[in-house]
Amino acid sequence: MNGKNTKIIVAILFCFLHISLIDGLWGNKTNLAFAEDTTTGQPRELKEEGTRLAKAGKLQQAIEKYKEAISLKPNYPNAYNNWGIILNIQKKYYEAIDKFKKAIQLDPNDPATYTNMGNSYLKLKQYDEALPHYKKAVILKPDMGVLHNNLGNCYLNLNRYEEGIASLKEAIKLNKTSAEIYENIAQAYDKLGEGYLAIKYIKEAKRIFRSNGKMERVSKAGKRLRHLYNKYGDNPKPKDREEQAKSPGQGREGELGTGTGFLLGASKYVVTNHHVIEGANSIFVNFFMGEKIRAKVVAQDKKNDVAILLLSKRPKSATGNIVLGDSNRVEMGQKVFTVGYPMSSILGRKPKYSEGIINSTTGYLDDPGLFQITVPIQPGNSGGPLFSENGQVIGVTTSSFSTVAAARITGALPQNLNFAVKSLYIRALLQTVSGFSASKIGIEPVPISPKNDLSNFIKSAKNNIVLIETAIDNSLPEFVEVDDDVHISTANPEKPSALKEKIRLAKLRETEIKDRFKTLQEMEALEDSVFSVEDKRKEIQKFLDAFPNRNPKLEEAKKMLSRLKGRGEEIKRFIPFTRPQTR
Amino acid sequence: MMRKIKSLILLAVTCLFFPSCAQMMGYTSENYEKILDTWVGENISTLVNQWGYPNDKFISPSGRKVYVYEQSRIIRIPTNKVTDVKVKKNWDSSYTVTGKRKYNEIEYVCVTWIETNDAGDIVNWKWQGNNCVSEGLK
Repeated sequence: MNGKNTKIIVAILFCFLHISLIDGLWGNKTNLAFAEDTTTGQPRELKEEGTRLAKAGKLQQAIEKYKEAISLKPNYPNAYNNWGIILNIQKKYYEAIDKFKKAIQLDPNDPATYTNMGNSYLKLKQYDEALPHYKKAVILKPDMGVLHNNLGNCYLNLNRYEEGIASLKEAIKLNKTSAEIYENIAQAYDKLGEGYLAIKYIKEAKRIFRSNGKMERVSKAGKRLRHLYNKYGDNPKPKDREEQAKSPGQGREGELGTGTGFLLGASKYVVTNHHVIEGANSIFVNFFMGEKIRAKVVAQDKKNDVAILLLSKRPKSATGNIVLGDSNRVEMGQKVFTVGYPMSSILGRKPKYSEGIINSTTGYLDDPGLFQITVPIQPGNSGGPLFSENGQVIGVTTSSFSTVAAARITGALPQNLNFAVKSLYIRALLQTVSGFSASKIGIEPVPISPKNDLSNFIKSAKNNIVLIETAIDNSLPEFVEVDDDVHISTANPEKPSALKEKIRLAKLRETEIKDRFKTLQEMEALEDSVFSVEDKRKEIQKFLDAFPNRNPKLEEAKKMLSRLKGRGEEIKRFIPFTRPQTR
Repeated sequence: MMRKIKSLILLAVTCLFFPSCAQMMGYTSENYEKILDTWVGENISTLVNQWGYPNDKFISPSGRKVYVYEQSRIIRIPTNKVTDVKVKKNWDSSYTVTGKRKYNEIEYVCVTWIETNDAGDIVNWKWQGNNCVSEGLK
């Protein structure tokens, strides 16, 4: 490699983080060196001199400087990290990995080093090895889009397209203007045979390229779009209802939202943040034990970011007795904790525990409606309960201060600034919900019994803490009340009469029956290899059990069941939607 | 200075007539295809706003609407051949002979078909001809 070429490559690597698709390989952002360096004195100066030399293309001289820095300070992770970067540039990937390993030994909390090591493995096409490092980087710094992008691309290289798409979508949330990420998602959807979504994402990539004046990229995106139109037809339809939920103009940029919520007492009411459900007309509540129940918004307070949802039916799994505490009694320095579903696409769908203290009884700019807390809040934690030490809900975890935004504003990186809405506002909102008895929410403090330690408490409470998934879906029917023990309040004179309410419910029930039967028909049409006969039978039986009486589709469903008799017994796992899922 | 300007004008005019020269100036069919690709996904009305009304429109067998844009021009290129032409003199019925230069006529054509879906979005294109060239994307 001659000097000029080296300089060009180095300039590209250091100055411009670029994602590209190279011969079917999902490329990644190049080496990152954003680790905070607390070292001072001569080792630091030597390291910085090395970086200057590297930027000038003098790679070998740069390495010498890093070596000198390390000789003065053997436990200098940043120098090892930068040395590894140079080795990556020199395509000495195994040597680079050694240096990154050393850097990680010295500082296991630097996402840059994990990213760089992931990049080395990626270059070696050892994607399985790269994956855990990219994952670790995301966990350490979840608010950085490039790390989600790296993880996503690694998944794509492993042909794990759905997980890749999920990670890339996280990257988009943090960096909406990166057309390359949209391109990669489009490519992944194409691999999955999802023409509708592939077209949607490549169009968006093209639009962004055009707005940035990158006409060569506009042309390339157009070429890919033309290929997709020819492959899938002019107007490919979304494959299933969940994808329809993401269609343009109906969805919030095609994204499914997730957040946390919690049931108070044994009620059917779920408390969450307003921003979790904002704009959604399809809300599903997922319980720890796997149950999934549709919900609707019955009260919302946008200003204070609180919403109350009503479940369409009572959960089968027993719920604990989470009670609402008095946020006015909370003191600065008090220990608090939360349980929620942060970044469920990466960390999985099991609840996660985090703890901290109350930094302040006021929030951002002394907002009296918020607590400032040290409990780390990640995307997906929003709407979760903030418990006091004695197990009472004193708030709803809401937001964390954006490190990137703060850095842009103040020039400094804030550490662990998080906020929760005070329970005061939950109580106020609950009082507006007719049919909700205040006594159920246990407003009076209920001390946890001495036998009930923290782990026991969490064990009993975690089924009250739910994962909320939202989508904009105009094709889905309105909320359907199917629970038999629904309470019809006649106390409020403005409410419709009981008779009208019953008629309304009957109509809704009819809609529900028709809708579910239609789904059964679609299911029956699926090949047995996709949806096993046994699962088909189960679904039909569930339908028959749910609506044994006054069911206009009863006979047809029974016939459907009899048609399945004698069919193969092979059991295949059914994946109902092609929504990105975490393995 | 004037000489330089003249030579540039001459080069530009020459390039109009000679495709190979046009290619040297960056006018290629590859570039034309790149430009067409930038239109894929855009609505036909946007194209009509920029390119003007098409010469023709029809429905393809696959059901797509097809808009046809056609450009052609005939270029006369002078050759070295000169033919003798007899010119009759009116007053004495005699003839004089004079030389006339021969020209080759070349037709430059570019036909572009733009296909749209039901929504009017451009989904495909095709071109044919010997003059579907363009300069590079800027």
